Order: sequence, then C-alpha cells, then structure tokens
Amino acid sequence: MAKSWWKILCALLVVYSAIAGLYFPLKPGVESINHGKLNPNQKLTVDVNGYNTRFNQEQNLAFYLQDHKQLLKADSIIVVNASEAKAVFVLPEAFGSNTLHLIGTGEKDGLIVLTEAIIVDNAMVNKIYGLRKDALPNQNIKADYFGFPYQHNLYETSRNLYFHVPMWFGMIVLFSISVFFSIKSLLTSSALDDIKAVESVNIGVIFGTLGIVTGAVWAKFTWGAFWSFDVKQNFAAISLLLYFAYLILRNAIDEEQKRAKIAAIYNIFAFPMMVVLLFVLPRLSDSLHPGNGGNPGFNAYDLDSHMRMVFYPAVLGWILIGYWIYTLLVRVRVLEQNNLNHD
Amino acid sequence: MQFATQIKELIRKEMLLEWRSKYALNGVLLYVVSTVFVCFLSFVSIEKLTWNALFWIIMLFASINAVAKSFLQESKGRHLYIYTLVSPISLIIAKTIYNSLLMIGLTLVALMFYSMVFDFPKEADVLMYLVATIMGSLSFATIFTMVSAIASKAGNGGMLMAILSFPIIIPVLIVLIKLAKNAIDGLDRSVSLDDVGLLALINVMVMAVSLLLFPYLWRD
Repeated sequence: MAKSWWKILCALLVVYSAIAGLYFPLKPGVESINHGKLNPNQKLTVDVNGYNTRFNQEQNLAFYLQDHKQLLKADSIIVVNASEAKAVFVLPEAFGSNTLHLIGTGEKDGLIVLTEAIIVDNAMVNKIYGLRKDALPNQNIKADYFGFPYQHNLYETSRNLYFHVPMWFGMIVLFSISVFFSIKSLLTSSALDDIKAVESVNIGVIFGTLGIVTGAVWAKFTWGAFWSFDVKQNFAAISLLLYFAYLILRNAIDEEQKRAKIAAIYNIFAFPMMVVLLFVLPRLSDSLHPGNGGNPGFNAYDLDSHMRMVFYPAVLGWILIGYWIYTLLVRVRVLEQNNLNHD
Repeated sequence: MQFATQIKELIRKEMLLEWRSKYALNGVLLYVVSTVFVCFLSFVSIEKLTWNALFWIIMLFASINAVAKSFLQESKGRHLYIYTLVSPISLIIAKTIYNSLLMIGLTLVALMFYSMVFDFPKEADVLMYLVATIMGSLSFATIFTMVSAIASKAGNGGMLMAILSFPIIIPVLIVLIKLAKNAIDGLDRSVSLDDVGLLALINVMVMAVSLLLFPYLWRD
C-alpha cells in the first residue's frame, strides 16, 4: 500500500480533472454582434448576443465601444432576455482606429469583451480624433462564480485542453523512458531492459494516437476540418510513424538478442529526430496552434488560474497513468516470459 | 593500420568495386534519367513549386536505391573479412564518405538532366540551389547509410529500408524543400542561412549518433 500511493494519486488526479474539466461552466462572453451602418453623429444600435450571460439580472449593465485607447459609453440599453441586449450608441465624428472592441460590464457577469467587433470604414477614421473619454466603472471585473474563461470560436471545446495536451506530455515521457532503457539494454544486453523499452513505446504510441484523435476532433470544431495543413499536426503524425517503424522493425527480426540490439539502435537513432520534429521544426514555421504564428498562446492570457487548477493536475495524472500502464505491461510480459521458460 | 589509412583504403576498395562492375552507378543513373523522362512525358511543363517538389521526390527514391546497396549488397563472407581487418568507426566513416561522394555526383548529374528537360526557372539563384542540392546529398547519404546498416542486419532488404528511413528523412526533406524553394524564388541569401545551419546541425547530429551506435550494430 505504501509503495502504491502514487497510483491512488494519479487515479484521483485523472478523475478529478475529467469531472472538474467537464462540470464547471464557462464564464460569460460576447458570442456575436449585429449592427447597422455607421454614420457620423448618428445613432447606432448594436444587438449583442451573449454566451452564458445574465443580462436580465444585471443592475448596472453598461456597454462600451473602444478604439485604440478611448471609450464610448452606450446611451441606452434595452435588455431582451438573459443573452440578448440592444445597446444604442451616439457615434462621434470619427474614430481613432479601424477596429472597435465591444466591452460590456455588469455586477454579476463582470467584464465581457468582443475584440475587433466592428470594422470602421476608412472614411470615418481620423487618427487625431478619438472617442469620448468615458471610463469603465470601478467594480469587480470577474464573474461571480467559478468557471473557465470564455474563448471566442472555442466555446465549450476549450475543455479539450485537459485531455489533448496531457496526451502529448504522456507520450514524450514514455518515449524518453523507452530511449533510456534502449541505451541501457545496449550496454547491459539484459532482456528485461529490452522489454521495458518496447512496452513503453507500445503505450506511448497509444497516447500519441489519442493525442492525434482528440486534436483532430478539436480541429474539426475550431479550424473547420479534421486535418488542416498544420505543422504540429503533420509532425506529430510523422513522429508516430517513426515509432510504428520501430515496432515493425521488431517484428521483422526473429532472433531475440539480435532484435533487442537492432531495435535499440534504431530507437536511439530515431529519438533525436523526434526531438527535432516536435520541438525544433514547429518553431520555424507558422501553426494554427495557440502560441504559434501570431496566435496567442494558452499561457499568454487565456490559461487563467481556474484553468491551471485543472490543467496541471490533468498533466501529472495522465503522465502517471501512462507510467502505471507501462509497469503493468512490463510485468505481464515478464510473467509470460517466465511461463515460456518453464514449459 | 592507421585510422586514416583504413578509411582511405576502404573508400578505395568501394570505388574499385564500383568501377569494376559499374552496376550500381549506371543502374542508379539510368533510374534517375528514366524517372525524369517519365515525369517529363506526363507533365510536359510545370510550375516552379512543382518543379522543386518533383526534383526532390525523384532524388529521394533514387538515393534510397543508391545508398541502400552499401550494406545490403555485401556478401556475408566479405563482411566478416572486412570486420577482422578494420575498426567499425573507420568502416562507417568510409561508407558515409563514399556514399556522400556518390550522392553528390548523382544529384549533380540528375539536376543537369532535370534542368535540361524541364527548364531551370528564371530569376533562380543557381549557386544557392547547388548549395541546397549538395546539402541534400550529404543528408541523404549520412541518414541512409546508417539506416541501411540497420536494415541489412534485420535481414529484410528493401521494404524495411523504406519504412525505417522515411520518417527519419521527412524532417530533412521539409527543410531541404524550403531551402531549395528560397533559391528558386531568388530570395536574398541571408534568408536561407538558418536552413543551411539547421541542415548542417542535423547532419552533425546524425553522424555523431551513427558513430556512437555503429560499433554496437557491427558486433554480431
């Protein structure tokens, strides 16, 4: 019991991250807006569609338009229901930038933002002008409940972070274990080290496949296709091919000691290539993944403290689960081997 | 024997054997020429992007065939004889150097014939493209030499060679195609320096790992 505390820990972590990751709601956000034509000094009505918002329960609901610096407060607001509201702005002579952000504030939902919500014609842009200098109300800017941040375009799929990313962490750790034991088996030529090397690849490949599948499903919802021409997607698939090749190489050789040696050599030869594939090449070109090609990283401002409270336990839990399955596979293989020797 | 003389003699032996039979060299040359010609008959004229990609695909398959023979085609008895005479390190170095020379020659001939059939794109930086082809030949040679050694030990020739080498060569191929495309577009040379550096780094890495691992592979 004392020796297997980490098994209980990883089971708890994975169950916790799965339940917490799926249970807690998303924080409110602005899903989309509709508006008419923009004319100087005229009224503009903006229909705001909120996500998880409670417009009808708000006491001090306010909407603002923001150009590069300044704020314009809505003159009147008509609340239709919890997720729909109309905000009426009296537009100025000109705006200071081409894109306007929409900001909403309320006591319950906190600060909600839709960036680059309105595009302004060049005719109405004057860099010298700006909006009126309204100020945001000095109140809490966070929603009054525990929830994950709302991501435009991602919606509820942002929960996939707790499943998709830990798979890659697990895979890298398992492949590192494998290359460690491959080196060891070359030096000691012990059969046990070879079993450890191949079994960690066996489970690592499953982690990688799950990572690709969860990623493809996520991509279908956010990028529009299961497989886009994305460097990280492509290279992850290629690095899996490397390890499938390793497994096939093992099948091609019958003699056990020879198989152990040659497979270990290929594994060590392939590992630096996998490092180049997964950590060097994606840095050199653009990717649709967060943190690449001008896309914001999850770490930059999206991964807030509430997400971290689920994400880090999920990573640790899945790495430990992978290691646990690996030890089980090794034990089964060793028992099988012993049985063969007795027969 | 001294280390350097061992390597020199081994390379001389490879060249002599090749010169006597002329089978591999002529075979691979004919392979490249016929592939280019088949491509010409099916494409007739191609865009810049396809020009570059097609060249590297032809070179990929030609070089697998060219380098695969370096270990696969040696008879068991001759292997044993060489192993009693020289150290494994000098054997792998000699094979890699010989394959590099073979690949550079083969690629240059292929490029000449290829740009004769499909016109070399205008505004291309020819010198930079040559640098890319030479870097490419070196990378193909270093990687395929080691993989062919592994595949020959597994005793299951051609197919295993392709399965084992493709995932390893793809990252190199991606960098190569990017580098060659920069050259074709006639971009400023400073843009491509990173890619040349990365290729050199991958080559050094592969060479270092090969030198470390080959002595283990060699012992039977």
